[in-house]
Amino acid sequence: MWTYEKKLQYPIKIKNPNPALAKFIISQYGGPHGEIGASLRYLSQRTSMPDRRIAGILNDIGTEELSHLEMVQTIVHQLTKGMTIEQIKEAGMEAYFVDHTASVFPQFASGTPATAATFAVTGDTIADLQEDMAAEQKARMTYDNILRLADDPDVIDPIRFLRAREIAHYQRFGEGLRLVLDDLDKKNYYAFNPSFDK
Amino acid sequence: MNERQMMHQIQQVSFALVDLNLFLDSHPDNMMALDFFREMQKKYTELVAEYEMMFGPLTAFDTNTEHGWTWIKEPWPWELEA
Repeated sequence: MWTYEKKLQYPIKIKNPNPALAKFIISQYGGPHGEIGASLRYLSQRTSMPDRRIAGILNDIGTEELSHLEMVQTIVHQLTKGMTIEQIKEAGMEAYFVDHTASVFPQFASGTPATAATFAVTGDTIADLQEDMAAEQKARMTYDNILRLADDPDVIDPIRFLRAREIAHYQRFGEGLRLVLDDLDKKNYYAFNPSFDK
Repeated sequence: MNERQMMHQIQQVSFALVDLNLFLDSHPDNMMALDFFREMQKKYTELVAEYEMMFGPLTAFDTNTEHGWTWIKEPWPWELEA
């Protein structure tokens, strides 16, 4: 089970509404490399992870990603709370506004709704961990692109924090992959899937 | 210390715990990390107890019902007033 803690992992206070920023930052809520995908990818992989240490990493990073989901939701919420119809039109956010008003809906920056097709849960230990390392780099890349576009220091600060966490998670998954390979046949890592073969 | 400052301290200590938690998953025998975790754990428990006494519950289970259902009274973390 999970217990909710009434706090953000990192403080967020955005003074000025700016739907133009919200429009693309929402991709880290429900986009192809977003936080809900990250969380559910790892939490879905954990039951087939044979190594106790790596099952722990999947469980605990999957949980941390939920607090990142909350941070991105908070950024989008604060950027759209109190926005005017003029700002919505200037930002080209009319289509989103018609469907979702000022709520936070999990979707790609391009408008596609969040999809489990991006999760990749293979049940193969090496494939899953390589996927997780790539996923952290793709999320880091998305935050880098957001930082290239964002001009509000109130937004840039928490986005930098989120970007740094992707790198920390990448390190942990890299260690997980090394731990798995250490236990496998060095002559052919792929002869045996430790999460299925006996 | 006001609510904001105290929350900031909790966020710092809880971040140390989250990061140590992940590190210890892949390095369960690292004595330095275990010592640091123990130190942060103690600090976290103290800070949360003090915060909840002064400013209200951080989890629903910690709600002190002598004052009614205070869980929903304080701002949510996503609100600007939080």
